[in-house]
Amino acid sequence: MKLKRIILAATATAILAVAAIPVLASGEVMAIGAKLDGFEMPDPAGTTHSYDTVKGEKGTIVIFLSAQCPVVAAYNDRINAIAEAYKAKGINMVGIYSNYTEDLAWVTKHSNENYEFQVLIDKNNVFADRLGASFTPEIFFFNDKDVLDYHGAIDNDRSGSNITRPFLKTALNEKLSGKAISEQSTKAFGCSIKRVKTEG
Amino acid sequence: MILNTIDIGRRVSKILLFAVVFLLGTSLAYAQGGADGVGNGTDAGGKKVDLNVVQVDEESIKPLLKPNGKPLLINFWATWCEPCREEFPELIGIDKDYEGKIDFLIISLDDPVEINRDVTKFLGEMGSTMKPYLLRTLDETAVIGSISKDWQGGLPFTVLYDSDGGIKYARQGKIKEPVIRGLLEQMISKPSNVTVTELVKVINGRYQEAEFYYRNNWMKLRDEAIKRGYIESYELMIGKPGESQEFDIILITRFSDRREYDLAESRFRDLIKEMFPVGPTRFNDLNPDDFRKSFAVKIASSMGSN
Repeated sequence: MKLKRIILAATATAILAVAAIPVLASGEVMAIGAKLDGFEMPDPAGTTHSYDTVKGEKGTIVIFLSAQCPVVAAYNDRINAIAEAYKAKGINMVGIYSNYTEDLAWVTKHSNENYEFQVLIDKNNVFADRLGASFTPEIFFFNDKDVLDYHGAIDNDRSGSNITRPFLKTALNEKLSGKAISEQSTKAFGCSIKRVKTEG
Repeated sequence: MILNTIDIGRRVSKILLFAVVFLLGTSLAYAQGGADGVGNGTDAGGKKVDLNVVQVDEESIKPLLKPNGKPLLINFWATWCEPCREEFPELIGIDKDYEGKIDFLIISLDDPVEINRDVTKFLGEMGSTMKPYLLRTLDETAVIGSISKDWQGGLPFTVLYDSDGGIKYARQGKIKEPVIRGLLEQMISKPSNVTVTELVKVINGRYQEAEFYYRNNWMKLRDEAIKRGYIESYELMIGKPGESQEFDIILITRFSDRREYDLAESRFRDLIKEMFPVGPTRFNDLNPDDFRKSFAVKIASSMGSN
């Protein structure tokens, strides 16, 4: 057999390419620049609220919360400080409880004890799925045009003792001063949102 | 010239050649960050409990994320993460059942002050046998993004790499144990070989010099490399002069796995110094570049039995 016909692939080449390996049951995360087409969810008392009735004139901070997550607990003071400070500037904060493991009584008690801003119940993770939310606390900031302008963490230090990058406050201040948000997407370790549907 | 090319896999030529295998692999050494953990492991039914938690940062974590010749399983967790604690017994079960066949790291996101408190306490209570680390970084965005672009940072997070570094499984949330075990069974039963194939063209009509060169250098080097466990096998195939315009000689070197391949450069360098202290054995005074040039080199990985 001629040399030319020697099969160079005598050892088969297996391309170990990474196919689409699912990571999150939530699917795709809402992209920066995408517009929020409203929502409706009940508060712990059962009253339904729409996006239009809770959003702020200058923007809306949607924050996914958890009654159980210690990381949320560590951030509560900072969450409340931001909510109060920016409400006065026309930016409203709306808390979303999406963990299916946290029943209404637990969420009601937790929100009453910890927050003054509006909180809503996301039953069956419907809203979390729409946004692709996956952990707590997780921020989705929608600007005055209902467009996602910042997504991710509140700052870069869970403990709060060594914050060098206050992501959310920086983003809000930039927006309020008419500038484009310089860092629109960040990540941080937190508690996974407990979902009704799970994948392998 | 005799063409003994067809019996690939069985026939081993006796001609040595001096060919350098160049590497594309990555360094696979695990880096150790600052050692702040206290090792107080106790035996737990066979495998030693590992409580020596090593703290790493965004730089020293990078080598940990690269497989070292075996599938690499990494679980990101924290004592403050309830599902992380709930799934721990399953993780320990996997570690015990695949001992020696995979590398399994656990990386805690607890506060560093807990490295000798809650973290080691929990690991001790669980009888954890996985190699433990604790990550502390002020750039979590970069670290999370470097592991998976789809991961936002929620814990627990488990990622399984094959020995070549490809991600076979990545999950935020509690693991699906049957899925991971199914993947591991596939991966450990089919080791990944690496084969380097070089095509050489004899130039200036110097077939005698080329054959002598490869038989007495390349082949002898590889005979010794087999004895030392550096390579699995080799093939030297020499075609008839002028039969092909593109190449005349095929050189094949097979490595058992990626790790063996990655170590080849340094091993062969030392072996060459030992076996050929004054340089390669030549037929005459011609340099190799005077009678041969490399036409192509192909490095391929494969899965499956030989």
